[in-house]
Amino acid sequence: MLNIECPYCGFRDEIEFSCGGEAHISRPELNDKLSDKEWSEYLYSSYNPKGLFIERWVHSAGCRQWFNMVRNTVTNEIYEVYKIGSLPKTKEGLLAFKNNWRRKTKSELIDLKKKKNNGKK
Amino acid sequence: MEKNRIKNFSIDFRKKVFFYFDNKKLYGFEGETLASALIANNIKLVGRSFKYHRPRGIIAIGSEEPNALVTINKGDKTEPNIQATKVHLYQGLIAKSQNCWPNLKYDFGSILSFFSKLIPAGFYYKTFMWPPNGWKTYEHFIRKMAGLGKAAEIHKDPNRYEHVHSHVDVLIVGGGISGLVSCLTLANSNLNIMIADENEELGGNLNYENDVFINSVAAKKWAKQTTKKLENLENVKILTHSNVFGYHDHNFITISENCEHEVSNKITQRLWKVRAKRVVLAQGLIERPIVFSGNDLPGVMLSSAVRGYANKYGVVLGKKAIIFTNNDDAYRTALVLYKAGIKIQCIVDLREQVSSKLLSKVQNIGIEIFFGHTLSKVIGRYCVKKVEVSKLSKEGKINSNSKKIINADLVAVSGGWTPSVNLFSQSGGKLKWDSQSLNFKPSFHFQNEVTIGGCNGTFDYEKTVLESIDKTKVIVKDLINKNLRETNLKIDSPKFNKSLRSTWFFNSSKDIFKNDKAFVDFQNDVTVSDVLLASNEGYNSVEHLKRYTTLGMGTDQGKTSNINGLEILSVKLNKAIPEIGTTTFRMPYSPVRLGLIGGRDISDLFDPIRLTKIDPWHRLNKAKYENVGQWMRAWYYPQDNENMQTAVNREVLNTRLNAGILDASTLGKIDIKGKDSRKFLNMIYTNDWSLIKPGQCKYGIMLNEDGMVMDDGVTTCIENNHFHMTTTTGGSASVLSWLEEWSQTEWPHLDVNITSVTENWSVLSLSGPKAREILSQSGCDIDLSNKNFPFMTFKNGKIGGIPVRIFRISFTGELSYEINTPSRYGLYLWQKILKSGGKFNLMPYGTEAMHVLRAEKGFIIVGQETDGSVSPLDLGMDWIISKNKKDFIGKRSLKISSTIKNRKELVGILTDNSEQIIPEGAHSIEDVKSSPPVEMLGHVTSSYYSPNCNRSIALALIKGGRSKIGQKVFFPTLDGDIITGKLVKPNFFDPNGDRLNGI
Amino acid sequence: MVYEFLTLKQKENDSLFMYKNEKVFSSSKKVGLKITNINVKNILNLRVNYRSFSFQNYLKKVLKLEIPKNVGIFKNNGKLSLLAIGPSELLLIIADDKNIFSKSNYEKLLNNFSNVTDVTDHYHSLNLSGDKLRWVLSKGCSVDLNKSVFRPGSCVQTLLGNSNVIFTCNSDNSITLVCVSSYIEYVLRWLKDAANQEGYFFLTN
Repeated sequence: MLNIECPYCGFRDEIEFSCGGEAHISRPELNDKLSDKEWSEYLYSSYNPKGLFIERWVHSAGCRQWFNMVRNTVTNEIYEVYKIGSLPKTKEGLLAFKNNWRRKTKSELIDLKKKKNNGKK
Repeated sequence: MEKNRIKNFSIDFRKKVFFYFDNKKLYGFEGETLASALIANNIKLVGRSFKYHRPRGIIAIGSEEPNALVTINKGDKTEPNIQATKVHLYQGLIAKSQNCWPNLKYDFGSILSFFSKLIPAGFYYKTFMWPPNGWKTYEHFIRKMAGLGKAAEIHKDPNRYEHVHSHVDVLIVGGGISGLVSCLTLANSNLNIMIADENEELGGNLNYENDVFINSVAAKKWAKQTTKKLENLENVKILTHSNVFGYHDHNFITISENCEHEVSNKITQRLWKVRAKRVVLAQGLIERPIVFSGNDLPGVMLSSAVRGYANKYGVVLGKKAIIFTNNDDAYRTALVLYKAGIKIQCIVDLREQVSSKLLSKVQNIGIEIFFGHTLSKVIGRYCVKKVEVSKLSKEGKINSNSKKIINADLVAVSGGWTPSVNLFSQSGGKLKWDSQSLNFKPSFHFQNEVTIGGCNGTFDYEKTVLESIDKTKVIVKDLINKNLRETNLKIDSPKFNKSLRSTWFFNSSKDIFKNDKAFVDFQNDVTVSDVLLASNEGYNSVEHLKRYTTLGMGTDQGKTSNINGLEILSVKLNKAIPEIGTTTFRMPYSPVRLGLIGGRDISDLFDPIRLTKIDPWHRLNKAKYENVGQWMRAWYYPQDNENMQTAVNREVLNTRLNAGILDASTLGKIDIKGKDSRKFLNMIYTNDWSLIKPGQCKYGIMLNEDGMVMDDGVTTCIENNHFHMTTTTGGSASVLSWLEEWSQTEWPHLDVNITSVTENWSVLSLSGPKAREILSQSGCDIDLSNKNFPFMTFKNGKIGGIPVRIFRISFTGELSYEINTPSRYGLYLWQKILKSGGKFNLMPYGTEAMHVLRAEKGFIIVGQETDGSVSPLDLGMDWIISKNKKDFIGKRSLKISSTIKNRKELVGILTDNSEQIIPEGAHSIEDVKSSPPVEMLGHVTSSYYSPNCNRSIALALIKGGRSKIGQKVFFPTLDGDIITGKLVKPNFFDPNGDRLNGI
Repeated sequence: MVYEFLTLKQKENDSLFMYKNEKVFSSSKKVGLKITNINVKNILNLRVNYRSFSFQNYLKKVLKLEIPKNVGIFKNNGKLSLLAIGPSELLLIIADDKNIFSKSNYEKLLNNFSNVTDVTDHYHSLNLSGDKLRWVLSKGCSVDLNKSVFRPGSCVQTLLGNSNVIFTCNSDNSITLVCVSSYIEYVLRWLKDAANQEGYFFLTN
């Protein structure tokens, strides 16, 4: 029974949440360049690491908000919990994000671009 | 007075009680354990072992007991496999031994002992393989011979259980000396503390000793005084009779509290789910036996247990005792037995000459000690009668000339102490082998816990107290940054030598195992030769050893056998124990009832039963119900002597002839508001929502991202940026979650708000040619003419002053009005409309009639015609897929699935025999062949008798069905018949929809 | 066809209108839990970023009520309660008092700033009190409801047994339970079973 910190409601037992699988999966843009293989990868393939993993959870029995979590799939340590659309900040989270074989979601790309642009200024 | 009760022993027990063991009436004291009462009555034979059916007796005093498993109570309260050491005596207790027939003394199964050479560990992996069909016979007998106790014949557990959630600052596991000291130290801190112990009182081993004094008070008394002190504190919760059985993630601990001792308590056991900021593990130590030939005979007991029974209950299982040890602790037993008047024949010590204060005390009494000797054999049939003592050379070889036979009826054995690291290991902590004390000790802590005392490998009483105080102070500083005042405790305990001798240095000597009945694991009958056999067969890792021999896999989880087994393996492989490692400890620490896990969630509290607000009327009019998810919906309303078929036929006919009304309040309703509502709907549904105007209704299908139908429903534009979406009853929760997921994670920039309003509205679905008149007669203030209120539109209004939203949508194919009203008015409105409709022959209809009515029109039901693998094209609904939209959920996948040939398509089936109703789920085949393989083309999704068509109808998904219209199909039934029919278009009644558009 | 009809005293009926008062004593003749059925005039679901300064000021003026600044807080002025159950979701509960605005007035006022949805009949409310209240609730709720943690002014959306519920802690330390209408029957049955030993008193009002 994990003790999960919902970014809005605070610490609650795992039973109030539902797991939504791998995080940071971006929905490919629908155009002629999108191959069947890419689409099938988006639909059916999922990263399954032994160790650091970023996944999505939703507080279904509470505020019903989605958020991201950096968890170790072996020890169940939860390193970080952060809102949808943002990026991890902890050491483990950044490492897991770097190892992510997927593209980032559209909104996070916008976020990243903003960060890059702000940096340039 | 019972035979084995020590004379002049002062017992502060309650009254004398009688109990039954194997139908024999015996006496003991209320509150003492069944085990101590059996010992008092000189009952040595208590059970038969698992595999060899060897006679077995009590060897321990607590939950580490592997042998004395009994069945208590009878009838539906029968409980098998309970340790006699954990049963508390009460007047009239019934206990029976297990695994024997016809009785304990003359057990037929003991024949197996003669075949023991044929049934070593793992024998079942190499036998019972021929002939192949023989297994059915073998299994029948093996099942009879396997297992220990038998479960109750009556399968319903009459006990009640409950769960409790608890949040504490510090949880102390174990109420022995270290736990109590820690709790005392914490008590003044105002932290929220819980202390749990598996025994009926706190104190742990202190209750079994008479040579320990704390602050000059006898340890037993000090434990009682401390308990009283703690009971009076508000911030301390004491749990006794509590098995802390699981250490889970993030300091979540599960505790099973036995409440039977509580007066007037209807709950038998309580499961505590504790989340603790800090956990203090103080579970203490478990003594381990020494492995030697015949070490499982009744009369051989753990030395600390012998001492404990004498000190706490005043019982000793014999009159002539031998003490066999490899360490100093057993000498305390010698002193206790001597004081009790038991003759100690001798003490056999594996170690070469050692000395200590304790040893001197024993020597001064005149007890003979044989250093450097071993117990080479134990002689007796049902219990110990004699022992054979032999001298050992320095290398560990037995000197056969030195053998002595000594009379004895009790052997107290001490092979050392094992820290109880079960919970520590469950928490993810790592162990380290200590070669001094021959033990695994906690080394790397993973969660927020500390180990103190015996379970941390601290054996000294004084050191234990200091460690408990120090570590507890650190916890307090950590949690509330406070420094506690000093706790002063002066301990006075026996001083002894810490040295131990490993018991496995002499395994090279063959004649020790001539009879090879030297047991390592008592409960699973695992001997030394089994361990050696496993190693010889190549099972050299400790995990393999465990599984091949079943060592440590019994209900006692190897509490007295794990280390001994490891030692044997280590000597055989010539590897140090740390290299071999240890197996993983898993919960539960001690067995837990399944009923406890279920808790309160049983029978009518298993799952909520949801009823609509109109339900009181259905109930009053004796409707029959159907379960739809958690809802109970009216299925049909039988009148007089109607059965289901006749009632449903009447309801279906009447709805098309006059009018029917259905309680559709369970349908999911979702309120969608916001500037970007249309954009959102366009992504969710397959069709185009850009142009729909306020007041218009539109049917939509939503797909999964893999292009398969997920849910359907009518969504209405209430106002420009306000939509009312409906879903199927079963899909209301999942569609809400679906919408929230997409809106929050993929398109958070869209301004759209999603709120569930399922229960806010009662829905009365009024259908039939007379629907308009009935609605008008009920007092509806809306102009119901076709011109003003066309099909697929909605209007706000009032019926007799009650606010309503009326949607002119139809699931029956008749002129229909779905009347939504705030659910507080639901029942009133239902009754009002029914009363007004009486003269028009308005009748209520249930879900079965609804299914038939929509099937007559070929309307699909998601979950019936679809199963997650059916696309809208399969259903013949390409008209609902927008050609203009650039993207929607499932669009890309449709591109792929639409190219696949010969997919199953929705068609109708008309059976050749019009009275025959094909069972739903029946598979259709192309050709009737006499033997397999036969190609299956699809299956029947819905099948009913249609009174409006005067024949049976069915909908099915058949491969390439649309191009096969007119062709013959065959449906084999489970009885072996073949139903024949032909494929038709999936619409059986009023195919042009004239009645829908009703003038 | 002849059908039977219930005699209804009024047009509005809540899910428990057929229930009767019930009292069960503990073995020591005490009542540890008191359950009172509550009638509520209206419940409105507001979707808005309520932390914005302008919204806070506007609402304070209009409702004459402090606005929660975070999830888990609820504000009450005797007639109105505002519960923050999500980062941009509020529930406005209007008590059954003749002297307050009708909900349509509130809807008009609030529509300027937020999306308002009427969910009055979607929920059902109970008031729970008694000295065994928190002990009974801990048998089915994994949130720490102890007086020191779950204080007056707190609200929490969680599970009680198998039903979603919202708990608010009132100033007198009683707890108001709000659940979806069709679950009320289960919630009541659960509460009665859990309080069986401690004694309970159910008032249907």
